[in-house]
Amino acid sequence: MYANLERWPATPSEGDNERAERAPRIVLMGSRRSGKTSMARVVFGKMSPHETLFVPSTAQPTLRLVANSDLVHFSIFDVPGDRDLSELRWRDAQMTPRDLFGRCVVLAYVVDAEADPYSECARLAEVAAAAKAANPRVQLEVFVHKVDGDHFLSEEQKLDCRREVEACARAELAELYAHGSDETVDPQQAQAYADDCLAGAAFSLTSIYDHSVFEAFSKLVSRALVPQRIVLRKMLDALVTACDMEKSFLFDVASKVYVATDSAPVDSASYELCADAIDVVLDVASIYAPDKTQQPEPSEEDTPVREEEPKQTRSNAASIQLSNGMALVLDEVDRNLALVCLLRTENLEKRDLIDYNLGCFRTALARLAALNASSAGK
Amino acid sequence: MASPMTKKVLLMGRSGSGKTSMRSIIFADYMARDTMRLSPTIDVEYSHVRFLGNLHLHLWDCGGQDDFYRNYLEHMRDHIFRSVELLIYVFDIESEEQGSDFSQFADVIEAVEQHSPDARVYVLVHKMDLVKEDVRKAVFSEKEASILSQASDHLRIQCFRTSIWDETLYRAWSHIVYSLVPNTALLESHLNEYCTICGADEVVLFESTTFLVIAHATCIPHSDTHRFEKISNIIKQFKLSCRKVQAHFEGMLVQHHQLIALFENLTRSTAIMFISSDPDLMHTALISSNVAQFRAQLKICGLIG
Ligand SMILES: Nc1nc2c(ncn2[C@@H]2O[C@H](COP(=O)(O)OP(=O)(O)OP(=O)(O)O)[C@@H](O)[C@H]2O)c(=O)[nH]1
Ligand SMILES: Nc1nc2c(ncn2[C@@H]2O[C@H](COP(=O)(O)OP(=O)(O)OP(=O)(O)O)[C@@H](O)[C@H]2O)c(=O)[nH]1
Ligand SMILES: [Mg+2]
Ligand SMILES: [Mg+2]
Repeated sequence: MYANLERWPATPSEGDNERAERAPRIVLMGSRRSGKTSMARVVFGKMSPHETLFVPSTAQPTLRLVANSDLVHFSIFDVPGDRDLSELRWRDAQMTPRDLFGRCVVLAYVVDAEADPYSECARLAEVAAAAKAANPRVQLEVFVHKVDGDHFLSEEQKLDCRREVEACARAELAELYAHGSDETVDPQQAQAYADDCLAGAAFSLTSIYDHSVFEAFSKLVSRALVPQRIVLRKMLDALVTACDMEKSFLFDVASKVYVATDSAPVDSASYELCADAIDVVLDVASIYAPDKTQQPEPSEEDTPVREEEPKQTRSNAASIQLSNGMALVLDEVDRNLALVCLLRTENLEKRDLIDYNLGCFRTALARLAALNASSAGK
Repeated sequence: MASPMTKKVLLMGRSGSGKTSMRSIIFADYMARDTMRLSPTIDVEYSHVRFLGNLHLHLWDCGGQDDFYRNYLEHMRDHIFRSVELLIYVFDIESEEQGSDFSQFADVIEAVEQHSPDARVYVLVHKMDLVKEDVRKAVFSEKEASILSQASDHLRIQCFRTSIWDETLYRAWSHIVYSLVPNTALLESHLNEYCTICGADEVVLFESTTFLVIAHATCIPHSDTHRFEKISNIIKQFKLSCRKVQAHFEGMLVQHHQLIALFENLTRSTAIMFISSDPDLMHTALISSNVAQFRAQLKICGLIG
């Protein structure tokens, strides 16, 4: 019954099936062996990159539920690469583009950077056009994937590849539009169509062998899938201002994907450092305080169980000092959610102020969750 | 200040066994996967490592190709094998030429015995990650037995299983450098005293560039005997992350349920970790002032510069 359903991190349980169907959805597409299943498993299933060498080619469309917290709750629909849009089947029925893209919030299209960009982009254009026709609200994200081979030793080579894919996708979309109608089409109109399809689409360079795939999913999730993203951003902006911080990320601890960040631009090095900081803290804690960390995650029920959990007097927290005058503050704000903030070391001295503001953040987050639960209950 | 103590360390084993890889990870902050780009060492690569202020290691990383060995064992015999403090000999567990591996090992042992009869010998059975996990123990025991049977009784030989992909690397190298640190007994007695004063469960002293464990004091026993090398590995990985933002790791405080873990730089070449499971007993401010005191004490003893 769950043959086509996976739930992370736990095994599927009763009710997941329906919850996965109802959850906002990422549709993951791209040609065969482009790395779709691998990237989903590495980011959300804790698979190590070299294990993906043994991932079999996906035979049937697969729906995965990612339900780590109130904020991280969505499903990923993994579509086999060799399947034509017209021959997709789901639960023994033919699947129309409307079925496929109706519940889709983000179409994540994976382009294999090692394959021929023209054939990759021809298919990308076809899928993007179909998605747009079926559901104009679908947001397109393009992952230019596997940029870790010998062709991509320098940053310049990677950027070239991304530029090429983007130009190619644009050209293919314009061409598709021109071919779609019988009359001769004004090239400017075709160009306008391509621009429209790609409006707001992000092209990210990714590899499962480094942080890039995590960062790309972070952008995707924080931009489109977190229900209260606008409020969260404002809350983080307020925190950063109050404590004089440089940058803050709210992380999904299980995947190291950030679900929200303040308005200051994200630089990859800071993101990596903050993600690694979660690892170092959890790894040390798991050696010296193994009881809590090794407990199986309590399975999530449909009814909130938060009230029954023992009240914790102090949140799990950590701080790290670096030689360049910077420091990191980590705080577990909720089950599976951690705040990681980057600030100047001298501002760390105002520890009481920081603790006070982190407390405010936690309270606001709990209120937000309660609001969310009550509006979902209606 | 006392003049530095320099100790000669020979790193030997056949070509491709992983000598330069290990040296680069431990002493030059390489990531494990960076070692795939290393090319074979030509002749001997000398490196001078300042370890713990006064202790200097002179590492001789000897390229492992057969031609070089002929040279080491004949023309350069005296130069190479004289006044060796410590020999680290590396076997590749997946090697297809076990016969030649062993005959070379025997030649090296003979030369060391002749020119540096007091040297200690550590044998690393390396690349154990390539052996399936459930048979690793058995495979290692068998290899260890044949290594020890080859060697003479005069030298002190100790075997470790290692892999650059897990913490076994740190276990072996911690052990090796520990044997080089002078005054460890005095150091540990200070540490023990200190552990009690702070009300800590455990206090561990690390060398700060390698993050290898130098000494520890344990007031409350812990069941995981591999925890130190795990910590070395974890912190070392994070140190590398810090490098990417052009910074060094300076300290960390973890407050996690019933745990406080505090990492601090102690002296220029050492860092210290405090562990306490009783947050009420351990006040971080108190510890900080004690750290200062302990630091002064170590300096006075001339233990650590
Ligand atoms: N070098 C490199 N290889 C990758 C990367 N991501 C995935 N791969 C490899 O690509 C191969 C195919 O990966 P899959 O995840 O099965 O690809 P897929 O897109 O799901 O393929 P289908 O299910 O057939 O549509 C595997 O051998 C992966 O190890 C990457 O970032 N870099
Ligand atoms: N699987 C695995 N590979 C390793 C390990 N250690 C080193 N290697 C690989 O072994 C290869 C050879 O490593 P080197 O360190 O250059 O070998 P060497 O002993 O210095 O060789 P010579 O300089 O020729 O004597 C590299 O590709 C390393 O990545 C290990 O623990 N496991
Ligand atoms: Mg697949
Ligand atoms: Mg070498």
